[in-house]
Amino acid sequence: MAIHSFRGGTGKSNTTANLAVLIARAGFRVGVVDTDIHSPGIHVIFNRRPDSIRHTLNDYLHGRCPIGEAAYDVTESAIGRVAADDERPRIFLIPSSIQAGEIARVLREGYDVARLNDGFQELIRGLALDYLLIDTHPGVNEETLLSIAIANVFLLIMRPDKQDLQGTAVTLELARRLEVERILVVLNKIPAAMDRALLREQVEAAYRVPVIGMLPLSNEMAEVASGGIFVNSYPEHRFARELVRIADQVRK
Amino acid sequence: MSFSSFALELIDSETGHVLQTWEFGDGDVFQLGRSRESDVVLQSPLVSRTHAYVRRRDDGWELSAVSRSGVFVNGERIEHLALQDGLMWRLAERGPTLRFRTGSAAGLGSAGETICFDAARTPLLVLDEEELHREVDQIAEGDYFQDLQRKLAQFRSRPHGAQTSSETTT
Repeated sequence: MAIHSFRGGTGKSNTTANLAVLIARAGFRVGVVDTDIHSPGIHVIFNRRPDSIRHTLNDYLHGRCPIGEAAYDVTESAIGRVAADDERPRIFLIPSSIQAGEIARVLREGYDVARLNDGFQELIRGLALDYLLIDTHPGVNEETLLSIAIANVFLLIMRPDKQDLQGTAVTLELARRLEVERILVVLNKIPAAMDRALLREQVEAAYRVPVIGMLPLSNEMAEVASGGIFVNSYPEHRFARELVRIADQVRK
Repeated sequence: MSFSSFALELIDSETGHVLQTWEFGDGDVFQLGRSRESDVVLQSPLVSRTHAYVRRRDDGWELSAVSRSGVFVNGERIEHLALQDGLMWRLAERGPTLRFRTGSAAGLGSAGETICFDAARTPLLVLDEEELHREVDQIAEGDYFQDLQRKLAQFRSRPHGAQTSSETTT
């Protein structure tokens, strides 16, 4: 499953992390790959301290380790204690490097995008994953296109504004040409005063794909910021309940 | 539709409820701001003394931003905007939300009439299809995209989870 947004700041990584937790909790093995190599961040949401990360996706892409060594079992911090021999639920995080030098190297030299694809397949097989969530880089570049192309589900996250509508439409049309099985849209950061029914109608009319979730602009979400998993901190919040509905739709 | 009158509604951004309504009939220019001379006085520290104007045009009303803290529609800063019934904007990025209502929808001068607002007439989000196709074609005609499309067929025909080898996706 590739999770993408045209612009930054849409809440993509937060949504990805929360969906990963919700899907895993339903009894699955879930992997989360941070392919936003230029501006990684999802490890923060999973409360993974940088000094506890030895290998990253960058090491794999530059041939310094097998991808399995860049995968971290974050089940306990993200869901809670699971008996050691229980295979499910499990969450694995494959972070990108936050070292400036590593980011600069990717920007300067790029990397073999085909190797990324091999890495995805190896993760699914090696970790016996039921779901692999790919947190993509905003905008359209080679790894985004690859992530879209190989995904069974392409989840687009956007804010309800004109710029997002237009930019997201481009990615969506490309996904259509790549014949992705399921394309879904989540609207995030919807101001309370906005007419939600009208909004859904307009986006579905413009895109001809289902809007599977409408997340409100939430002060609590902003407070948690990227300091943790929202559905764990505020399970009864309407934002969290909407995330549960989205996770159910995605799994269908 | 009559353009001679309109109303402005102050909206509670949390609940969407109308907090206050100002109705206007005669006049060509109306000032929105914090100063007491404004036609719409908003007691918010985020609002400038003179923040914006609503001006009469030949075919309706226009909103003009004056304040440096700006006027925002759907999060986007605007300078001038032709007003349509139901359009909402914020004074300053996080300031108060106002909604424009024309005479008929605002029920002005026809007390007791049912207020009916067909929101679908005033879409907030519209795609520029031409721009979209131009951008999509530009990417789709690129070598990488074409290559990817070719290899996908090959990839999808493989058993699930099979490994691709690097030389098949250069």
